[in-house]
Order: sequence, then structure tokens, then C-alpha cells
Amino acid sequence: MSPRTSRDALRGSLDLLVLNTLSLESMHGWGISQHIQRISEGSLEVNQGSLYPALQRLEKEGLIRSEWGITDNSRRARYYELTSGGRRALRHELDDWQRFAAGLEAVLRESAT
Amino acid sequence: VKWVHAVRARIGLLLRPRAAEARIDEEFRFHVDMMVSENLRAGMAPAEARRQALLAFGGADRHKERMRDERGARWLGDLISDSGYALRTLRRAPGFAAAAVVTLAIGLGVTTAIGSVLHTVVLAPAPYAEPDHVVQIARERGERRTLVLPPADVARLREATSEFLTLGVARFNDVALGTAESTVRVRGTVVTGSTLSMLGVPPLLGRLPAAADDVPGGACVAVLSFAVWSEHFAADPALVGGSVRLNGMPCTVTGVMPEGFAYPAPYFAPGELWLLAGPENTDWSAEAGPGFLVFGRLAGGRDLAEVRAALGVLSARDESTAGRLTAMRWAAPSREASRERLLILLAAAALVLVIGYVNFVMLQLARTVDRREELATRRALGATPGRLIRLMLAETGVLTIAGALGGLVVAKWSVDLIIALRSFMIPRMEEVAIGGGATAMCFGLAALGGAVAAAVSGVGLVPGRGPGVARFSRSVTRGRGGRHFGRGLVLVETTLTLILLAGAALLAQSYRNLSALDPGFRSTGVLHARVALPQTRYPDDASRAAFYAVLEDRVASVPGIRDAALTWVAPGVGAGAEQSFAIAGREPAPGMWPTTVWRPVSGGYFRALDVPLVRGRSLEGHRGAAAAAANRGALDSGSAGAAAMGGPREAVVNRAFVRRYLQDTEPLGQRLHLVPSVRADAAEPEAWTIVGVVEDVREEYVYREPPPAVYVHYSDQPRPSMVVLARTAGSPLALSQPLREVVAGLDPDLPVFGIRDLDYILRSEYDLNRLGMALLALFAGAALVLAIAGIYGVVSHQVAQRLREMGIRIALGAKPADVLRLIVGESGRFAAIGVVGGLMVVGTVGHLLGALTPGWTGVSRGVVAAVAIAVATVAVGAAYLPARRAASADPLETLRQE
Repeated sequence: MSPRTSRDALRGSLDLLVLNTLSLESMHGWGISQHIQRISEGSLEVNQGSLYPALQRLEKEGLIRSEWGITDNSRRARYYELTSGGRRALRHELDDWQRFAAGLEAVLRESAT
Repeated sequence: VKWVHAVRARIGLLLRPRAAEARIDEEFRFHVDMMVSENLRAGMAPAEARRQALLAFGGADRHKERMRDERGARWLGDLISDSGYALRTLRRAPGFAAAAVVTLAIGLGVTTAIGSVLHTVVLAPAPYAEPDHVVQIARERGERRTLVLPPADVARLREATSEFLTLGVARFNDVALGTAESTVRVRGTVVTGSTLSMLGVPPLLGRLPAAADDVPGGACVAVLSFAVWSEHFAADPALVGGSVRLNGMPCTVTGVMPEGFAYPAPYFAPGELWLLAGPENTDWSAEAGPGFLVFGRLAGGRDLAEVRAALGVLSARDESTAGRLTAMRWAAPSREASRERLLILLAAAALVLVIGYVNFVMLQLARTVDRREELATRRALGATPGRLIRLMLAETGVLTIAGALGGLVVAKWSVDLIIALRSFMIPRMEEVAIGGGATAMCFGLAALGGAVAAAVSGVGLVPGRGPGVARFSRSVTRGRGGRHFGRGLVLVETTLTLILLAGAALLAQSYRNLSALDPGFRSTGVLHARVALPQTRYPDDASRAAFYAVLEDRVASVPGIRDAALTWVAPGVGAGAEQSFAIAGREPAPGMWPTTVWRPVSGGYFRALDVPLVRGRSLEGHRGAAAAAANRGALDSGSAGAAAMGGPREAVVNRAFVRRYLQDTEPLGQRLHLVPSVRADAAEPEAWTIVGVVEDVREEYVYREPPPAVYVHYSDQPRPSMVVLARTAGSPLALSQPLREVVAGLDPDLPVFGIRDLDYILRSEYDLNRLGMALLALFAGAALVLAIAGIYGVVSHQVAQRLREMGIRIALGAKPADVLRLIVGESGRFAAIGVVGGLMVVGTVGHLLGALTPGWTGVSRGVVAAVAIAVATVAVGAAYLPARRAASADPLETLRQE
């Protein structure tokens, strides 16, 4: 709901990754970082020092919520899932991102030729 | 919904910081464990796997710190710890803390108290439906406004304003209410059939009287107030529809009003019982006699301007001398008067508040200066300037909050005190309380003071100008800014204190003037009581005159009563309307009738009150008196009205009357008549011949110049109610029981009202004066104490700061007297400027106090000069004590201290 300024661009991209990851299934912090690393084939590495503050921030904004759950190997872990507001924000952010990426690509292509 | 999640998450993070921390710990542990197992899977040794994982995870504490910042827990934690720290440091400086809190509390308290009074009395609406639509009608001539209108005016208004207004009236008519045990007096209020419904307050029980009940000669109908109903009838619901005895006659109770309903309160004396004008035989054609307060509710869509226009048309037609009819929002007249007084008091309270602020700021500035070295050390040890400022702010915040709480306590005391000093002239005083608005005001003003204190004392700490260890530890003279502030304090506080003290002294002086005024009669030892004869049993003049004649005789023969007199209204108590009259042979043009105080009295009036006769004779041995005396037997046998009431009527006038109206002729023998009697159909039956002239009596108010007055014998105009004035040998009130017995002996159903010591009534007329004076004196006292404390404090502080300087001066040969002169002289100069400034203010606005002050005789130079000398002396004295300390500074001591 709160409009993001360009200052938030970098932080925003991490938020986008997290939200996108959580749109598939609810997951714990470790799972999220593993997922991003795996899907990006290692090109994106998520720093824990950024991930957990980001999760806390998204939760504060009401985009995700969390609860304790049990992992496959029977350990207690905090699972995060998207709220309906988070789902809406994700759609919005994705559109934004695609517009931004398309624009960026167009500009770069022009300067390359 | 998103915000629900958001709010829940935030609350969890803020309110349960420990749970949030634990959760983060567990998440991090899980994450690291997962990394470890990953590394193990990759074939690392267990120890190495853990080491690598921790390395990769990075500083968990740094992550946590970031998250703490992120969730906004930091400021809360800091705030709590800063406040705790502030409390601890303040506990180490209890003198400073107490001085700061008390000084702020006094200023806030008095301002909040007066603010609450102002709010309740002036701003709060009347307790009726849509009070904005209720107007009051008055006659206005120049500055003079008459609120009590004769019945004929009501009749005219009813006709002329029916499309704009629903009229409501009120006339006080104390009644004798028969209860199970006895007969009590209650404040009856005569109203018309539409009055109570016009107010829009539904009855608690029963019904309001209908217009159909309000017919001349109809059956008596009454509505009881909640207080009367519960106090005298044990709140018996069966009473509604039943009957009570009113003035000895049965009267039907149609309803009971809810608690708190006391029309025409709150701006006039509260009513306790309401009865209808019709059954009370009100003569709506009477141009004089008992009048009504007249109100009206604006009809839908009508506004005040339309009503005023209609009244203007009406006024153009009539011949009243009391001025043009006008309408104003109800309560405006009494509110305006109170508002002016209260605004002056509010201004006075604000001055005290300013002195409080100045002291509060000064104390904190001084403390900051004293702590510079400590703060410099802290800064050298790594505290950021922001952090130091926050610490100071926390301290100011704690002091401000404590000051505000103290202010509420002071406000409560002040309001109790103001109510205890109860003034008749300020309506709704009993309702004043320190409520939510006052609390908000107190905290708001406290925050303002806190902000100023923080800003001023924080200036020395801003980054860049912040203290460095080296810069401050060695300087000989320091705190130049602080010294400027100290001078400003001396100046401002002497100015404000002078203003307040001069105001209080001038009020005290006018109060003394007032008590020293010669009212023209002797009020000491006089018992005052009123009897009222119900129309139903004393229907005509003859029966009333006969009753009063017997009463006069019997009262005078009570042992212990030396003299007794009857009058319509006691002198000096501010009651009674003026009467339009004419002197025979010089009838004025219509609308130009002169007015005079007109008093039916008994023959002994002048003797009982010690009013000397100047010329001619008094009313003693008056024909009317003789006729009434002859009629005494008639009263006892029950056949009233036997005496003939013809013959010439006689009047005595006072010197003011002669000065005003009969300057050029011989007063004795002139004939006077009243306005209604010159109507075409009347053949001058009501004419009085002047037979004597008496000294002036301040008949209206003791503090107003004696008005022209005409005295006639009561047998000419036996009012339905008269006042008995009895001069006693000892304490007047000791004779109240014998007086009651005399009245009961004549008619057991008549209660005796308003038994008072006449002196006491007159003194209570000064109440307003006393209230204003007491409050201003209170404020002035508070200001004086605060100013002494402030000047003493600031000079002490400066002396402490400059002790080294003084030591050096003395070492270089200055004498202690020189040091003394230096320090006292500096304060003295600024005190002198302050005194001059204060004098200028008093000279400019002092006359505004006149509004507070009957008996005001202007700004007295002597009084103001005495106050100025006193303030200057006190200011110099407050500086002298600490200066002595500096003068006795031992150079060796002070220089060694470094």
C-alpha cells in the first residue's frame, strides 16, 4: 500500500524475491535463502544479515505472517507465508519490476548499438 | 486484511521485546544448524563444519541489532533507560528537582484553575435544548440594561413576537410550601404555560403544565424540582397528580423535573418550584410592580436579527423610560460581566505562569552550566551529542511531567479555594471542576514550558558548540549566555511581580474604601426578614395594610428590639426597580419620564436606620398609619378593608432627589404622581405631596452614589411582600426566633424568609470584590515567592560561577564591599528597569481593574509607589544574601579549588 520510492530499489528487489518465493509455498528463513540460491543457480546469494531484517519488515507491513511449524526432519522452525495483502503487493511489485526491467533493457540496448 | 496483520505484528514486536528476541535467537540457531548439516553433507569435519557455518552466517549480534532498529524497539528502550537515568540523577539533586517541579506546578495550577472557571462559567452552554436558540429580552438605555420587565411588556411582546419566538418568563416568588412536618420556604418561580416546554427539558415524572392551565383565576398548578420533591416529600411518585399546600392553599402537582433542572439557573438564582402566572392572578396590563425575566426560543429558521428588528418596531411605539427593547443570546448579560473579570484574573494567572516558566528554565540552564564538565567528560568518553541531548531532554521531560501533575493538584486546591470564597456575582461557580479539558490544558502548558527549557538549556550542547574538556575547565568567568539570561530573569520577574502586587494592592485599597463608605444609614445590629402575603388570602391593599400595621406594632414591642421598620426592599442590597414618575405641573414629553428609587416604607423607617430629617416632617403620624391603626381590629375579626383609603398621600424625598429634580423650587408641597395614573381614563388618584426631605441613603448599592429616592407610606402601596428591619440591642440573629413567633401569631401559614443580619447582606455585596482581591492577592503572593526564589537562585548560581573571579579581585585589592556592590548593583540595575517597566504597564492598563471593583477609585499613586519600593527592596534583598557569600570569598580558598 505504501508507495515505494526509488531509494528502496535494492531493498525492494530482496523483498520481491522473498515475496515471490513465498507465493509458491510457506517456508522458513533457511528455505527461502536456499530457494533463491537454487533458482538463480547460485548467481544470487542472500545474506542472512539482510534476509531476517527483511522478513521482519515485511511482517511489520502485514505482507507476510509467520508461525511455528515442524520441518521434515522434525525440527521447530518459523514458517512465513504470504497474506492476501502480500499477494496483492507481489502482483503490483512484479508489474513494476517488469516495466522497470523492460525499460532498463531498452535503454541498455540502445546504448549498446 | 493487511493492516490487521501489520498491527498485530507491530504490537507483538513492541510490547513483547523479549519474546521477539527469543524468536530471533531460535531462527538464527535453526539457520546455522541447517548450514552446519549442509557442510557435513559436503564432507567437512563436525568442528570445521560449524566454524564455517558461523563464519558464513556473519555476526549474529549485528544482525539482531539491525532488526531491533528495524522494529523500532530502540527508542522505546532508550526512552525507558534515559528516564530511569534522569530519575536517578534528579534524586541526587533533590533541591533542584523540587524547586523546578514546585515552581512549574504553581504557575500551571493557578492558570489551569482560572481556565476551568472561565470555561465553565463563560463557555459551557446552558443546560437546555439547543441553548443557542434561547434569547433573553431586555430594555436598554445607553449603558443601562434592565432585565426585569413589567407584566405589560410581556403582554406586548407576546403579541408582537409570536411569529419569531415562543416566550418564557420567570419571576421569583418565594412560597410557603406545606410539608408533612412544617411549612418551609422554597424559591417559587412564576412562569407562563409555554415557559417550561420552551426550554425543551422533559419532566422526570408527570407532565409540564399546558397553556390551558395558565388561565387567570384558574386552579393552582405547580411543578416541583427534584430537590424539593426528594427532600420534602421523600421522592414519593404518588405526589404527582396529587396536591400540596402552597401559601396555605391546595395546589395540584403536575410533574417533577429531573435533577439539576433549576430554571432560570444557571445565570439567575435557581428555581425550586414553578407555578403558573394565571392562577397567581398576574395582571398583564400592569406597567409597574413585580416584573419578569423574559426569554424566548427562536422559531425554526428565525434568527436574532429578525427578533431585534421586530422589537425595534415595538419600541418605537411605546413610551417606556426604561429604554428600547432588545434581545440577546441568553446568559450574555451575566456572562459578559463575569467574562471581563475572569479574563483579568486569567491574565494575572498567566503572569504567574510566565514567572514559573522563567524560573523553570533558569533552574535547568543553571544545572546544564554546572554540569558542563561532567558532560564534556562523557563526550570525551564517546557519548554522541545526540545521546547527551537526549539525556538532558529526558531529565526535562521527567521534571515537566512531575510539574504538570503538581499543577493539577494546585489547580484542584485553587478551585476549592475559589468556590469556598463563593461569590454571588459569578454564576455556576459550584459546577467548576478540574476535568479532562483542564488536564489537557495543564499538560499542554507544561509541555510548552518543558520545550522552552529544553531549547534554552540545550543550546550549549548542540554539536559544534558542544563543550570540550579543555575549553571549559580552566576559564575564569564562564556562562556568558547564562549571565544574560540571569539579568533577563531579574528584569522580567520584577516587572511581573510589580504588576501583580500593584493590582492586588489597588483592589485591597478599593475594598477598604468600600468598607469605609458611609452608606447613609446605620446597618449594624439590624435584623432583616421578609414576609410575603399570598394573594389568595390577602387580596386587596386594605387587608395587606392592616396586616403590616399590626406586624409593625408587634415587632416593635418584642423585648430586645429597639426600633422596627417596614420597607419594600432593604437599602443597599441592590434590589428593587426604579419607578417612572412626574412632578405635577411639569409633565414631561412622552418617553422622557424621569425615574427614581421609590420605596413604600413604614413611618419608623428613618428613625430605625438613623437617617436624619433635613426639612419638614417624616411619615410618622401619617394619615395612612392612623387609618391602618384604626383598622387593627378589622384584621382580627377577619373583615379586611374596612378602613377608608382616601385623602392626600404624603411622600418624603431625599436630598439627591431635590438636587436632581427640584433644584429651583421649594420641594415641600410639590406633588408627585406615577406613570400609569396619567392615562386618559385615570383622574389622578395616585398623587403624593412632599412633606419632608431626608439625608441621602445609598438605597441601591452601598458602593454607588445615593440615587434620588421617594419614600411613601406602605399603606398607600401595600406590596404583597415587605421587609422587616429591626434594630436590636445586641446580636440581631438572636431575635430571629421571637420574630418568627410574632409572624406565626398573626398567621401560622406565613413563613419568614431571608432572616439575616443586614450588615452581613451588605458585606456579601462586596463578595465579588473580595473574590477578585483574594485571588489577585494569592497570585501576587505566589509571584512574589517565585520571584524571590528565582532572583536568589540565579544570583547564587552566578556567584558560585564567579567565585574564582571574585577571589582574584579580592586578591588584587578589591574590598568585600566592592564585590558586594558589583553583584548587588548588577541585579539592582535590572530590578530597577523591571520596576520602571512594571510601573508603565500598571499606569497603562491599571484602570481595567475597575471592572473587578465596585468602590474603585482609580490607580492610586501612593499605593503603586509603595508597591514599587517593596518590590525593588525584595529584589535587591534576594540578591544581597548570595552576594555576601561572594564578598566573603577567601582568595586562597577559591583559587586553590582548581
